[in-house]
Amino acid sequence: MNDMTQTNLQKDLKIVGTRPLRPDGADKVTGRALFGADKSLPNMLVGRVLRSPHAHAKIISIDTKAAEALPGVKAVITSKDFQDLPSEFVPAGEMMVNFKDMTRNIMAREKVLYEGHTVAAVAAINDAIAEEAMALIKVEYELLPHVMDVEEAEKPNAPLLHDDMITIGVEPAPKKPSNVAKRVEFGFGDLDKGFKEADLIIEKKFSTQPVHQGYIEPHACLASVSEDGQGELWVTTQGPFVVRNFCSKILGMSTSQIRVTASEIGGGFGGKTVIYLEPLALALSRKACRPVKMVMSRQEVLMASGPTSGAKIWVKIGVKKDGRITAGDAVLKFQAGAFQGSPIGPGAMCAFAPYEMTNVRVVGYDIVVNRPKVAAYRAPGGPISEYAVESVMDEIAQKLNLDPLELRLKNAAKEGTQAPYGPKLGPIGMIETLEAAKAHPHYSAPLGPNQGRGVASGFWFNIGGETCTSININEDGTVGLTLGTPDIGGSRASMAMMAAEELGVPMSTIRPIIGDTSSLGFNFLTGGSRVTFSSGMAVVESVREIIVELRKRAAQLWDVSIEKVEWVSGHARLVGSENPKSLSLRELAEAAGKTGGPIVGGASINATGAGPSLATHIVDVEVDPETGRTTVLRYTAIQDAGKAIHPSYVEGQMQGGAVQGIGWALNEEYVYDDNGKLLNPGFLDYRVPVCSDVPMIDTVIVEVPNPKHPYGVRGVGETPIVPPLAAVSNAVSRATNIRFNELPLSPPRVLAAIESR
Amino acid sequence: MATLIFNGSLTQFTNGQTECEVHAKNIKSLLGEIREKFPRLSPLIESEGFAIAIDGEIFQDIWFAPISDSSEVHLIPPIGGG
Repeated sequence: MNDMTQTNLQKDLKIVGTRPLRPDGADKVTGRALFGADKSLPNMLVGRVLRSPHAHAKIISIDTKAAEALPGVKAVITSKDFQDLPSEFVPAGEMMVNFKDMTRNIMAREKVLYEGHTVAAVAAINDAIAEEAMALIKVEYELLPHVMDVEEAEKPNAPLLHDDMITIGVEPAPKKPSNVAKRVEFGFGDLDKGFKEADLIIEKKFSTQPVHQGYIEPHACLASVSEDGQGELWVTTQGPFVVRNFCSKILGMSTSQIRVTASEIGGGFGGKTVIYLEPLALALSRKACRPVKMVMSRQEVLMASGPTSGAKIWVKIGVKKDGRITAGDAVLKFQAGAFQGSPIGPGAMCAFAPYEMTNVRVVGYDIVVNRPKVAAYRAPGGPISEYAVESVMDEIAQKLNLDPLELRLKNAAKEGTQAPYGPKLGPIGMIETLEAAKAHPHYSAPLGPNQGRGVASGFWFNIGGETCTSININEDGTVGLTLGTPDIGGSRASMAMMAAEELGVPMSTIRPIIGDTSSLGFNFLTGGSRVTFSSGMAVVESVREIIVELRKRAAQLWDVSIEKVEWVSGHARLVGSENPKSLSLRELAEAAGKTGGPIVGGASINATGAGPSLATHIVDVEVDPETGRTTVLRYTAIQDAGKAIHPSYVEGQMQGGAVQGIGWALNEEYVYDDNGKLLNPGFLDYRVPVCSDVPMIDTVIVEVPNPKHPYGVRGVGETPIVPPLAAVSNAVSRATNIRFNELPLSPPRVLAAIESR
Repeated sequence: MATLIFNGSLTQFTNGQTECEVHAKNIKSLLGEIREKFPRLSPLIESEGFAIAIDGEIFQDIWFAPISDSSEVHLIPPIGGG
């Protein structure tokens, strides 16, 4: 828990809110930055993974003898090299994960549960020999029927993935196992009464496809375990401490035996909060006593990592003629992939969260299917459920002839609103983003033929969590700042800016680095839009602690009590003296040896008080009636950031989220054949938007400060992916006069709807 | 005494009770009180790792956040992110 009662919300800020160059910028643009696959060690081996060709099958036997005998092969591992772990839930990314499942996902044991599921891994002196060795591993399978769709998977006669899976959240507990891992329900009020009061009720079914996080850098790591059992791991990850803890549990090592260093990261978006290659590389290295590098191909990334859930959603909303919502009801069925743990909880909690509801219910189901286990993806669950609700809101606006922003304003959640998941909300910026959207010139710009304009809003919670930092005043008065949360979106810049603002020194004197797991206490991962909020709080607390120490050192030198010394603009100053005295940070640093030794500080917190961030997006599209192709003509993203520490990086998050959401809405989907084999495991066929697909994404930052953060920060990375799905769908619906309720709105789907009109 | 409110499916485990008064002054003692008053809810909380919202502020895996007599307390699923 943290107490950051001393805030800077009203302070005249010199650095926070400006746009300096990022400390890691030069390395990134010159190619000097080292990513997951960029490191090598002497005597390094190449690690490769043998994956299941089947969607669902029993493993009868695995024979690795021929592979092990191949010259150049130094280690082969299967599930026999990993201890089986009991069922134990721990937090990871957006959900709890179960170690029993995790050990089976990184290496199949009794069964393979999706095409691409790991069956064995090989370390060899080069790639060609590793490839040859994999071909020599004989795996005998007994094929089982598979199931890919949630509505098929929940049927009583569906192929069962786990024969011990009893639905959680149902009382009394079912007696028979099923593919339904969990049921959740939120809500309050009287739905029957609410729907009776309604003048208009709209009820619709929707479906969304699973989509991949689409990070450009594939999973990659380099592991080295020495003969005395000490392990080093270089890895592209959002959470080095989480990787260390998961690997130590799976490999039966102590946490101190594994030191994890996070490389620069080429995108994660939630998909790098879990482990895939890391325990395999450590296990191969431990067996071979040589370093092992493993890098996934794009095909492996798409077959066996991520994505987020596909879903079936049913929504019913009742409104009065004036647009006031009287009741909202929804059922969500989320694909979990092969193991339980879809983002059904947050998805259900977010569905109606932008609105003030008096009668509301959301029921959600977490359902396992023969696909890769889902991983977190920006605002996990939120885009899916809010897409359905925001689509119905748009249809309501059309049917009642209301402006869609006015409809949302009539129902907007505000401070004191009871959220559908229970608690009352603190200060939030839903109304402010809607007002900013109304006032934006985009909203009143004329549209041409075959063009439509869509709007949608979005909600995400944001989180805090365990965080620590350390700070050192160097001998010349410059500052070293060590952070434990990998920098994905420019956080080294924002941390240095907050430290410089607090300390009253130029940002250029602060050098922020990401520490490895042996240099700091535990840090929860970079995710949930928590870093600028939580690490920012820890940085501010560290600096405030070090300022106390600096005042103490100055007081010693002046032979006065510490109360007589204040800290102003990077200097210690004597309070109320007729002879003004001042010592700069550099002077105090140079005298550190004489006044008690190095000046260091740090903070360790479990940050609380994260404030939800709301957004409203406007998009114009043109639909070609002959091909069904949708072109995004103009896009404006408006979001409450609380306070933008570095506005350029806030805008970057808003733009990136919007583009990923456009891809989700228009193109991205996995195509499987009847045998559960993925047909489009590459970026040529799995179509993410590229620069030429989207216009410049215009941004408007709204600032409704979060009172629980010293600078008012809310966190911005999750929310911008929430509104685009519905905003784009609403725009296409208005351009074609056809209501769409399935994603993606790919040209064949849109053309088929136009032709059947 | 603070008010503990149960939302949605949790009421299955509280015999339909939607709220109750609690003496707890922090989350640790609240969890103990829930264990005593609602033994069927306790295993779910332990396996699912619920967060606690006190007067709208969400606390995840934190035991010593204070609960005042006027507090409104909710059990909600843990929240993460991508």
